[in-house]
Amino acid sequence: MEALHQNQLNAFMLGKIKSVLIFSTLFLSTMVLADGGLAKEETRYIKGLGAVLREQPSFQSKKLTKLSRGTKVLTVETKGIWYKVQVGENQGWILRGQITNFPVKIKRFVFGQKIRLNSSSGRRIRLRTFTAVVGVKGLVDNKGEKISPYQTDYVALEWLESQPSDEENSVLFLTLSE
Amino acid sequence: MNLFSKHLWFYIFIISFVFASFGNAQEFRLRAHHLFWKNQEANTEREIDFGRGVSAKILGKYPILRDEGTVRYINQIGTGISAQLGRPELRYYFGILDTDEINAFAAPGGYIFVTRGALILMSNEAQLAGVLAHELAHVDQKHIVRKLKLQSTDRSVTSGIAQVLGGATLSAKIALERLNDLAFKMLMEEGLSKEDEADADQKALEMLTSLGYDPQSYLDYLQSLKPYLEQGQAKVLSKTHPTIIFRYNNLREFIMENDLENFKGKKNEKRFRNKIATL
Repeated sequence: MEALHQNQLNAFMLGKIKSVLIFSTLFLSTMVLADGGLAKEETRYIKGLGAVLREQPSFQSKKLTKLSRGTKVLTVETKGIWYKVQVGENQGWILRGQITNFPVKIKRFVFGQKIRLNSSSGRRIRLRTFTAVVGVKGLVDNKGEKISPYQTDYVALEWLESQPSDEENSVLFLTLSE
Repeated sequence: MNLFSKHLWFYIFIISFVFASFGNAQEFRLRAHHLFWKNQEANTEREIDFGRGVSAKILGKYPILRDEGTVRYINQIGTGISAQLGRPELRYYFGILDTDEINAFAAPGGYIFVTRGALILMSNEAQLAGVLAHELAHVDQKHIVRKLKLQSTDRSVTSGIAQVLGGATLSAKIALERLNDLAFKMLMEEGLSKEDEADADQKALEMLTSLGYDPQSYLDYLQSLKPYLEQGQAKVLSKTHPTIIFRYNNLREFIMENDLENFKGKKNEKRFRNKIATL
């Protein structure tokens, strides 16, 4: 008798927990959705180099200040390709392509495990383990048949990846006109 | 009542979670985003790895042009655009394919190629910037990765490219190789959807304007492609892209909408001519 009563209580409590869980989930999701749909003012971030805050939504307009990558801004209004933003005490216009919704992440490179092997010309080249095997033999399955019908050239790709690149200089290079 | 005490911490957790979200919904959303932070970084790495595989196949079909001066110029223009308007977490690579064919390719993860034939057809820097910006837009919008997810009938693939690419076993690598082939075929034969190309064209025009380049030059370049589309030189391009008329009208619409009719940007014709003189 006592045991049965305990069981009923347990079932009752479990039902309570379930309803609390369901309601809290509903509540949280409506909050998140409502915020995404209705809010006009939102915190965003400067994603690029060379972002300039301007007085008016036009390229001819006066430059107020330069903003660095990762700066937090509050968007107030949009007009064509321009966003009106609030940064500290400054308010001005910025190109929409230079703003992102999420904080700026650090640059990613893919550095695999490097191995050394000899090329046909006797020069030593470095390749990643997996790509080297594919590059030399072609990838084969368990029966020894080639998987991909296409040729690859990882040596050319590594040459391309070794070419120097400088973001700040390139931005400067673009702004120069004849 | 010992059941309640057993779940007491759970209640407290839920209630505090609800109260924490009262403060600032935006902050809360960001915090939720941070939970997926690590996952996203891993996804970026896999996207780059995937793009490397596709690029190696592009370079297996067309040889790379090892003209360091010209490559440096293309790289400077491309990096200048990507540093300002691209995805900040990616390092972009720009290469020239040594072929008479007229085309440009973008592999996921920031690998962008333009052919020697296309460069010779161009008449100024604004056109080059426009073509690179179009390819940049494909990378930024992840068009290829998205299309692969939708198209596949294989359940293991639809459950997420990242899952397949993350595997270290041979079968995972075979699956990755198959996906690479699909992406390569998309670039060479099937092409992306009409909407994706229209989107990339509009984004390219927006980037050109943002950088102070002449947007009309990009439309001129599209027009100049016309006579080559029937010949072999731009066969791949005409197979994988919508018609020039469709693309032209789409861009005219964008120009009218954004009031760019009278926008006069730079063309840098002389600098372009000097830099690609060795081709």
